[in-house]
Amino acid sequence: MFQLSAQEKHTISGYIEDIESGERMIQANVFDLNSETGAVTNTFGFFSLTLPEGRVKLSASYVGYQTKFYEFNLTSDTLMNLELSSSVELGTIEIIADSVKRIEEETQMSVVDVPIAQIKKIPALLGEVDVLKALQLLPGVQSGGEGQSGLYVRGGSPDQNLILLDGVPVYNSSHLFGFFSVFNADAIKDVKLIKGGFPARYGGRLSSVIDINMKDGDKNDFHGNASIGVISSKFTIEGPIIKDKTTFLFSARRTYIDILARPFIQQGFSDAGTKGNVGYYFYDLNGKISHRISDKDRVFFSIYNGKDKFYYEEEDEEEDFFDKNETDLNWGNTIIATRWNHLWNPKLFSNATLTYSRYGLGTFGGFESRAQGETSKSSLEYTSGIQDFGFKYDFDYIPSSNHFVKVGANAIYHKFIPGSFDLFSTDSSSDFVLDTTIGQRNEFAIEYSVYAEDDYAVTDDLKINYGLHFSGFAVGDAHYASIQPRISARYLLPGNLAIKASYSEMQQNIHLLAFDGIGLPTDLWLPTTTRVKPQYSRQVALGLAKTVRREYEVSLEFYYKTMDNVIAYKEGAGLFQLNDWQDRVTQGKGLAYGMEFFVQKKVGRLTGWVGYTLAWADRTFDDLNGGETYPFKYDRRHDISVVASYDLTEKIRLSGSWVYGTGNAVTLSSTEYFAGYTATGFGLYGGPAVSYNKNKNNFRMNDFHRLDVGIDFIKKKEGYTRKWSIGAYNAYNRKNPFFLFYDEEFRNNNGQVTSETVLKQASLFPVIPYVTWSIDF
Amino acid sequence: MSKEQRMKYLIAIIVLVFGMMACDGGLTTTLKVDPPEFEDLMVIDAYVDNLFDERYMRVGRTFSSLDRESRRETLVDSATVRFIKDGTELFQFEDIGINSGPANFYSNEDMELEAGSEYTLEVTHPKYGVVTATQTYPAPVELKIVEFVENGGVDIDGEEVSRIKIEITDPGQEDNYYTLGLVRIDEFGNPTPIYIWSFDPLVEEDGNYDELLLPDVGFNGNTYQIELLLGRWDGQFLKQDGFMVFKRVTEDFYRYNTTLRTAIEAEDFVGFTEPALVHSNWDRGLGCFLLSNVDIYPIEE
Repeated sequence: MFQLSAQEKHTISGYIEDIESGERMIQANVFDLNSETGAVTNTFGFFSLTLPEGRVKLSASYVGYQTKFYEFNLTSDTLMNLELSSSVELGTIEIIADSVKRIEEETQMSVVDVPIAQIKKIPALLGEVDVLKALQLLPGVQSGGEGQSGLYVRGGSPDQNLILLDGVPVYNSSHLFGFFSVFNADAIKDVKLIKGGFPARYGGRLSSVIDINMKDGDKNDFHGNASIGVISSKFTIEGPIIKDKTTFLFSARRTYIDILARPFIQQGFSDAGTKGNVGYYFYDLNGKISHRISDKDRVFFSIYNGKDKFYYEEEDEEEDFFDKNETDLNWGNTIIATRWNHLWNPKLFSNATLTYSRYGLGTFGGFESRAQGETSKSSLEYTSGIQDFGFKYDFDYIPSSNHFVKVGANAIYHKFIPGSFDLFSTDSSSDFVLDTTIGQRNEFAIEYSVYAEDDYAVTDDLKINYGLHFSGFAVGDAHYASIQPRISARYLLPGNLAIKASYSEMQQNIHLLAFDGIGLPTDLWLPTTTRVKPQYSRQVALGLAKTVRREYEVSLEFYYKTMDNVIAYKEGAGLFQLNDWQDRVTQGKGLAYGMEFFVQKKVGRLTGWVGYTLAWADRTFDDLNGGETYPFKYDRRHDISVVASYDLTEKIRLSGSWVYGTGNAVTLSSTEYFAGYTATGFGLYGGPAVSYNKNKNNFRMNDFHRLDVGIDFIKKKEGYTRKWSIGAYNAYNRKNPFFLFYDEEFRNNNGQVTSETVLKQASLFPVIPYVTWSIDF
Repeated sequence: MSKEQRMKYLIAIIVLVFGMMACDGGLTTTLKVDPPEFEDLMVIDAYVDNLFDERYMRVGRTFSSLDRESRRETLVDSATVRFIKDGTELFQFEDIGINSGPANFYSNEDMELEAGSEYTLEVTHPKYGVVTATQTYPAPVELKIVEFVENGGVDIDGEEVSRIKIEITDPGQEDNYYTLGLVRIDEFGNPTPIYIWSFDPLVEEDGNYDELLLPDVGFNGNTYQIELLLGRWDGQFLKQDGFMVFKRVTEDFYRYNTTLRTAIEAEDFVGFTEPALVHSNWDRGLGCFLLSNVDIYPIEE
């Protein structure tokens, strides 16, 4: 007995990797079957497990991989890398009951990990695999308008989501006005969504954290993937630069409708007697290099660059006459992260990150004219955006198998460009020159945070994750600081049913001025100021979780979230007004509460999930709706999603998703009046008819539902795998509401024309088939 | 033909059928839904200032979006309109009938408005009851026309323009709102608004795009200069037959106009913008009652 209690302990630490690619696994599990203690890997695949000296029977496991066992005598601190191989044969995934991390064992709640392989199986609009749209299919997460990639999490708005790509905030996650997201699934390793019970290491947004990690690159062999789809083509290649030391990944995606249509467009201009071109494209480039300096040090360099561009140019030239018109609208993100992992000792791991993130919007309109020897030129250029430089340093300290401590600090230097116009005009006939800039000056701010959290196994049944997140924001003369408590707890009831609870407070120091429902590039990030206060939320959640029949993760959660200082445009204010943006916004309160039910199956021939959400969300602003509380636009009472994919054979995979949601709340009136009977005080002049929109979001659109289906034909050949994906978005051609409007309908009754005003619904997407060809090599 | 090949052909046919369905019927469909209930309310527009004893106002009503006929007769008769100060009726507006153009009530009362005093307009109607709005008459503010340049070069669109530079000395310690307009008396003797614009960040267009709105946010208590632009064609007439109309207006009027502009723009971009509620200062009605302090300034080069 004395010997047991005095038994010396040693630490096993290292990384869990995919045996083929060397890709390190996030949230993989290490478990000692003898002592029944375990650990999970962090974001970099690192684990640390302290065990008593003696015989150890270690299992390493990860969903979709074969569990691997290691048996040895532990006599000293041991550094070892564990390698897992994916399950090749259908339906043969080995699951050891006590080795795979189960949902009921995790302290954290309101978290969903969606395997990227599962995301790739979901049928998508025009076959374009979309990470954010896959997240919309989870309970508690709603889409905006039809086809949009914006996320509304637990009654929050899209700006309240902290979207991280390799730890760097992404400010505009959409292409083509929100119909596609910027994340190329081929370059992504892991996606995690946190809706509540936020651990102390996260901060800066109220409603969710979407943590996306890019692949590191295959350390053993060169691999790649290429695909040709309806709207874009993609290419990804990864491999070793120096075997076992340095890897790279490069991925590119571009739409090509502009290239295909160019000859026809140019011919069209030519037929009209001019020269010109018009087009639109977007592209994404992802790159990553990782280098192992030693067993204890590793560095990563990741870069993302993406851009949307719409352009129009036309030239009309005749004998003594020349006209040229140019219009250009472009927007995009650039993200750079440099990270350094260092293992100080078997129990202390650190990661230092230098980040750069930029989102910018630019528009240019130019006109040039030459006639009778005189030239005039004019141009208007608008720019807005945000630019960040950041540094963070995070430590993982695992003193024993009962504690997992994380501490760290983060600082970001923000530059906000709220929108300015450059005007230029010259006219040789009058010697007139205008060259000026109008708009708002750039704002600069420093945001910083310090956090500490501990995942503490109090007993076998009770685990808590508690921590504090301290954040500060300095802008001009204003400084805002807050201490945000975070706590999650899990108690294991008999029958392996876990009851979980969490409380978290979050502060958001930057705000997005945006139109509801559609992701426009003109959406503008702006800082907290002396007048515009930080947003703040308090969220409590309670839930049950259990793994059923070893394959089905089942959870039921209730949440209640209050939000202070949420931001909205004042009535009458608009985006392109040039007065101070602070005069155009108002702040108020938000409330969201509801219940989420989720069943997920991650392994086997049939994978997917079923989710149901019952929710309420509203807003109250002194300056809006007469100060009365009104439903949030995405106050969706019922939301159901069913996602499934089934491997019919090794060569054929069927997939489908069905979603149902209560109709969005919109402002709609049947009452109109003539307004604006004013001119200059010299009489009354007729005004336009306007709607009397007494109550905001007073009307419900029709319910939304849609079925997407797909089938993959997979053929494995020597050295590569070829896949044809065929499917249909909105397979049963449901006309889902996009917006409502009144219209006049005319009828001819035996020569007598009568008209009737009716309410009409515009739908955006009918059934849209897609076909994609891809190869993995 | 193998099983797999047969399946491929089947899928191709399904895709083709889906594609044909996608082309059928377009994107718009008529909904059979009950719209929100129609609200029958009085709509009252009344603008009273120090410049004219002849005052017109409009007492109208709302109409249903589904009933096109009802929008043709939106004026309301049989109303009693009282102009009140400190609970005492100063005068009544006279009903001049529904066939008199946009206005259907009129008064020609010689009255001196007192800066800083509150005035109430009360409209009583057998169907709609009593509807009131109250405004404080603002004190005058000085405006100086610094410069008028008839040949002002071209603007960014290459259009020839005239330019006017003005200077306002804003009283401090209070929120002030102004409107700026140019009016030309046409050959028939009628006042006609001239379209003006400005690149000044504080200047906004009003609901009818006839006047410019100017809140003093950004120059409260200071002197502020603004450049206004107008078409060169209008500029050449301005010296002979035109003048600047400068009004000090109320916050209610400013909000009414900015929300009206947003509402109009929202209806132009239906589906992409949120519909706006147009501000009103009537307690149980719509429209705007404004008391404004007006000055006119001749334009000289």
